[in-house]
Amino acid sequence: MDAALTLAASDLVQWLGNLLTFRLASCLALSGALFAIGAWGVLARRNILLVLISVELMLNAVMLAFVAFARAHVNLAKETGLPYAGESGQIFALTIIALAAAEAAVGLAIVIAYFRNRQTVDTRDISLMRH
Amino acid sequence: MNWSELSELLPVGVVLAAALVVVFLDLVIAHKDRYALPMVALAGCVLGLGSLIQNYLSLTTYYKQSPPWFSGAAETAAGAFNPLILGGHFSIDLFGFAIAGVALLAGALSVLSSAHEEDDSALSSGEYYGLILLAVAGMMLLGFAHDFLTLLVSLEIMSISTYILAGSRRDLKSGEAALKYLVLGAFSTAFLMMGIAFIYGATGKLSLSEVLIPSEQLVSSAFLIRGGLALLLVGVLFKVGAAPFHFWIPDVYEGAPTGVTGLMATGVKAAAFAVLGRLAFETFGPRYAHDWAWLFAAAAVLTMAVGNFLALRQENVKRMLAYSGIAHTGYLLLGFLVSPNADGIMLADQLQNAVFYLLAYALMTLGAFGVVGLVREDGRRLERLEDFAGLSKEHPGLALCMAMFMFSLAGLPPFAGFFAKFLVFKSAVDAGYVLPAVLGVLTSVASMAYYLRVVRAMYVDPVRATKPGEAPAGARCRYSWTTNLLIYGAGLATILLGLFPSGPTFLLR
Amino acid sequence: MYELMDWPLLSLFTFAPALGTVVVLLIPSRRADIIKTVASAAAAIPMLLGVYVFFAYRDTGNITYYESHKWIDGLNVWYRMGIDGLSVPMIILSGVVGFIAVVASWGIEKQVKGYFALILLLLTGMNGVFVSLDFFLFYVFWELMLLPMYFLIGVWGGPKRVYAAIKFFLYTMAGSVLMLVVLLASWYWSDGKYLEGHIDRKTQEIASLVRQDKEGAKVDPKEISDANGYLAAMYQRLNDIKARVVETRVNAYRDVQRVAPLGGATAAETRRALTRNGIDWTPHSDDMFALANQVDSNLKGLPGLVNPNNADWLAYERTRAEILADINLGRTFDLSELKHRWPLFLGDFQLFRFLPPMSFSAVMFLFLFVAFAIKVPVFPFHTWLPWAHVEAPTAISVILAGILLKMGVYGFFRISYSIFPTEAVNYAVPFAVLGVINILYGACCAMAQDDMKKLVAYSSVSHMGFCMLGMAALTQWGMTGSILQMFNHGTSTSMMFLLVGVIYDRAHHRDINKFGGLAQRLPVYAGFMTLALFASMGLPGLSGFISEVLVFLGAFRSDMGRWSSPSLSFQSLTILAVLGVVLTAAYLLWMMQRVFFGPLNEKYKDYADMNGRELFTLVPLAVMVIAFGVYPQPLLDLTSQTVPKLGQHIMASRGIASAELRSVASEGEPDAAEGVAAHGAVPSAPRTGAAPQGDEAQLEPALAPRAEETGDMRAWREEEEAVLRTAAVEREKR
Repeated sequence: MDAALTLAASDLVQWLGNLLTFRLASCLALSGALFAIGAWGVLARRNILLVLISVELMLNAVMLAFVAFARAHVNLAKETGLPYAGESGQIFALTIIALAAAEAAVGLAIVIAYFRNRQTVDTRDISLMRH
Repeated sequence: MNWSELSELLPVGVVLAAALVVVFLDLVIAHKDRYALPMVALAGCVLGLGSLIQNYLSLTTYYKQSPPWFSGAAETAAGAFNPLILGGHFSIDLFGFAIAGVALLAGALSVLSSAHEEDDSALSSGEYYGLILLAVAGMMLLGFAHDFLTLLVSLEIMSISTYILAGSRRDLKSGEAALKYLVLGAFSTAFLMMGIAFIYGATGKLSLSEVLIPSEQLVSSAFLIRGGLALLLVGVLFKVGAAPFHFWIPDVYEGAPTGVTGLMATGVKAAAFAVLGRLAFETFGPRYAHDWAWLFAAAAVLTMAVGNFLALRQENVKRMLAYSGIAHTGYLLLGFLVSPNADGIMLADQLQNAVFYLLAYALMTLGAFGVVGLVREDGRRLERLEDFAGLSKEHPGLALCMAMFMFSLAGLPPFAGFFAKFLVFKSAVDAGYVLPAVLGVLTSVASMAYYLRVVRAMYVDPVRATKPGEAPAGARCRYSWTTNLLIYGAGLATILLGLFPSGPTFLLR
Repeated sequence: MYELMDWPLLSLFTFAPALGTVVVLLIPSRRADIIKTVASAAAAIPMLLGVYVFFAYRDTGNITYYESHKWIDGLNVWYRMGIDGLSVPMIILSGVVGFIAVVASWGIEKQVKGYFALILLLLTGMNGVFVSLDFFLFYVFWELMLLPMYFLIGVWGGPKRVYAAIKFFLYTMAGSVLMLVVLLASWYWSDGKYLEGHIDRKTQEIASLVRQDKEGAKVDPKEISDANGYLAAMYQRLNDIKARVVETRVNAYRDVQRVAPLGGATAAETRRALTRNGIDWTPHSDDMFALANQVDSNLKGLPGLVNPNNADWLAYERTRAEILADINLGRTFDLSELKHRWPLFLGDFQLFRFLPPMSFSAVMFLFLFVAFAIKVPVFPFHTWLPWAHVEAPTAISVILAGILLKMGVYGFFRISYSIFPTEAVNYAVPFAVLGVINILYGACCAMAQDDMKKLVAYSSVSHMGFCMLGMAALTQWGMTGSILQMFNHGTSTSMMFLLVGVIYDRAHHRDINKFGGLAQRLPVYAGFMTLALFASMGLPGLSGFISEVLVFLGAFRSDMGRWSSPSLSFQSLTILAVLGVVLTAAYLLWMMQRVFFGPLNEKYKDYADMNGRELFTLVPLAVMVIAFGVYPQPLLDLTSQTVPKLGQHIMASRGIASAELRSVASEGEPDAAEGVAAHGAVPSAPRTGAAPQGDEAQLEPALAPRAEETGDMRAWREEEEAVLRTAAVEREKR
């Protein structure tokens, strides 16, 4: 019983450990999925706020990809002794946070200004210049 | 990293400082002269240009040779010119100087063409000019950026300022333009960033000239690199407005205030082409030209065709100029086709031609937008073709300059546009892309049709009668000496560049 | 007299009107009288220079009044101007008719300032076309002329002016693009790189054939020998051209040497000093200095080049073949240089992978044909002309018919025939056919017109057909007649348009049927009109006669061309063309009868006869029409050396091209092939070896005997040789 329990516990630990081990592929899959959802959102959403949120989603996907790649490079450096290339990815991710924040701020300001004029946030109404 | 190298970026610092000064001045001065803020902004651009030239001269005297056209062309021998500064984040090379120069020119001219907009308080505020200067600073940085990180940050400085500028007029069209520009710009930036992420993941590098140099640090397959470069190209083609990613341009150009449109059509485009140029010449280079150049060529042909064809149907001059801008993006792309067996001299030659095109295009387009910005009646903007009827009688000088810009854009000698086109077509033929060049010549003839419509409207078409029974009235123009300065200056430069095309290259040698 | 020669005469000729444009733009628009005076003064300068050139010019077949300055560095574009016998009649015509057109526009009242600014700009463009010797410059002037013309028709024209202006613009634009393509393509090919590549490929082909032969595969020896002959011919071409570059370089040195005691350091000073002393100099020294700098560096330590009379000259001759292999020809726009590089343009090229290879020179020649044919205008491209002529104001019609149309034919002579001489021979018959179609079709259309101006416009189409026919004949008489016809048509048709303008100013319509009996009320007018019409229909004693006769004589004796057959020979075409004279007489006389004779239409009985200004514009033209009709010799003298030289150039190309074919055919002996195969060294042998061998035959290709020479050509060649000989003797004496 004890032995069985120990076995089960260690299995669980190992399983959890496996689960938590960094896997580049899964990170990239998640990032890709987020990016695709975001891109779809930009193209398909009718509410301009949702469109902006979708853009943010895309940026977050990029950030995730950067962090994942940075970690992969850290691991690679540990395994092979090649020069460490992880820091630039992390810096990049931090930079993207700042850029995304700036874009969001400006974006929301423009949306608010537009809403004051038009009283609408529907993208189908934003078509004054179709000729 | 040697911090004293920051002095190489002094021109950017000058422009940024001018931006801050303009914003604070707006708060401090109580009774504003209409021209005070624009003059400060203009002074910022001029000082920036002076500082840029000073930098160039001091570098040239220090190294006893002019900088190389791009960092890849620098000789690696000891004592030779190494353009990379700040640990390789920026490359102080001729291409960068040229792009920064065009950006400053575009900034200065769009300040000049905005100075008359006093009826709209947003357009005469300190923020407006501050943002123009910020955008210019971003463009200059983009010209020098040699690393994906600096590239992205500069790009965002420029883009975010331009988003706000596009919406700075308080009307619906302007807001709509800003919104569209923002969403599509951010969308394309996301693609650009994702591409960079892939490339970084595959190579661990961010330097533009090194990412494709094979090394053992590859995490994954060539798929990542190729996919990354493809995403990157989508982003860049979006930014330059090449087909099939051109659809945002007409709306944004039409809606934005005319001065901003001029800036977007020239400065922003030049900066985006700086990225494209670095990609084509440094990242891909002759080595990978075989893999990538055909894509540029295809995009160029498509862009020329789409831009020229759609421009034929426009009735709004501003919108027509937007489509013509798309077409010119196509011609410019021809200048960035790299031959697989090109050497450094040929690449430098090609870059020089492309830069000449950017300069000539900036002059003609800003001049044309300047005229469009002036034509208005009782505060109402007149942008349609028939509104230009009779301009030749009311304002012969403006009409003459507009006609010159149109002929120059169409590529007729002896104007600058002719030599610009000639040079990029020559680049393409030299690189072995004869078919795109021939199509370029043909579409450029077809473009004559819509440029001629403007000339026809100004000179030949009868003046419209405002109401039945009333005497016909010619087009009315606002008077603004700054915009006139811009228009006549650009007109003169268009002729001089056409007559002495080796002038600017002489300066750079 | 020589002092004037030191001036940049042709630049003045070209840019004086442009300067006038600037001055006119600075005058306030309400001072219309000052504007008109200034414009006339600016237009008078080219006229005076044209008249001066007419009296001062002595045709030697060489370029005179040469100016050259570097213009655009990277592209090797030069600002080159110069005139020879082809341009001199044209610049006289352009100067005189341009001035008369400006004076004739004094009646303009709408937007005077803009009108005169534009017409002066137009004059600059036209004058520039006739004097530029750089293809690029030529193209720039060609386009420069297009813009003012568009405005002049579009703004100051008749009721349908917009349509006419657009049609004119689009037609000309289409032609210009084709010219641009030729401009670029010939520039790209002019460095001989293509030919070198072609030679390399061919060499490898032969080498592989020889290898196969050695390995025992069945290779037809004739195939190898044919290929060898072809290869040798190709080397010959390339080395001839390179040899000429060196030759010119040496000549330039000789020029400098000769002039050294006279003082003069720069090329321009040298040129001037030589001209002043009546020495025949090598035209394009400037460019050659730049081009042959490599030769110079290769020749360091060879005093032979520095002093050609030195004994070391032989050493120079020996090393020359080696030097030739190293010369980089470089790309050029220089028309007189391109003229000598025509062999480079003979190869085939493949524009796109999916198209079959085409003959480069044939395609380029056809492109140029369309470009110039639109201007002439040749039959299928003529539809813009009636519209433009009818809608344009009188003075612009005068310029259109008097000068602009000539630019097409001038372009054929100056560019097509010089750069692509072999095609000139190949396409002689199609050209002549088109010329005859022009003559007959234009005359028939003219006969059907009720509008006086349209009638004159179609008569221009008809008369330009004579130019085409004479030009296509490629005989001395034919080509001289063609140039003369351009000049004479320029004067007589200008008169006719001016006269139509005179009556239009009074009656405000031009319907032939509505007039009648005008001769009773307007005797002076009727007299001038009669003179113009008679000159136009070629009445002996008036100018049109001599040129038409020359064209007919020249065409009748020609036997050019590929498609020539008994039923489609130049003889039969000439006979058809003579019918055109009858038709011309018919429609002109018919018009005269309807307008001037018969019962007087009462509406017109109190019209005033011509006023002073109208007389002032018409009298010079009338004087020219009569003077050159009675005594055409001065005009003939203007081209007496240039035309034979051009003819020789074309004939020589024909000789070389066919000699090459013969060499391919005759060297197809088995032993020759084995000889090459035995040496095994196809690749490098001819490259150094061919040049000295080819020198004798190639440096003066015109002297090589040719079987297909006609009697006319032979006589002409002998005459030319005699001239050259006397010139050489004279040079020795000095």
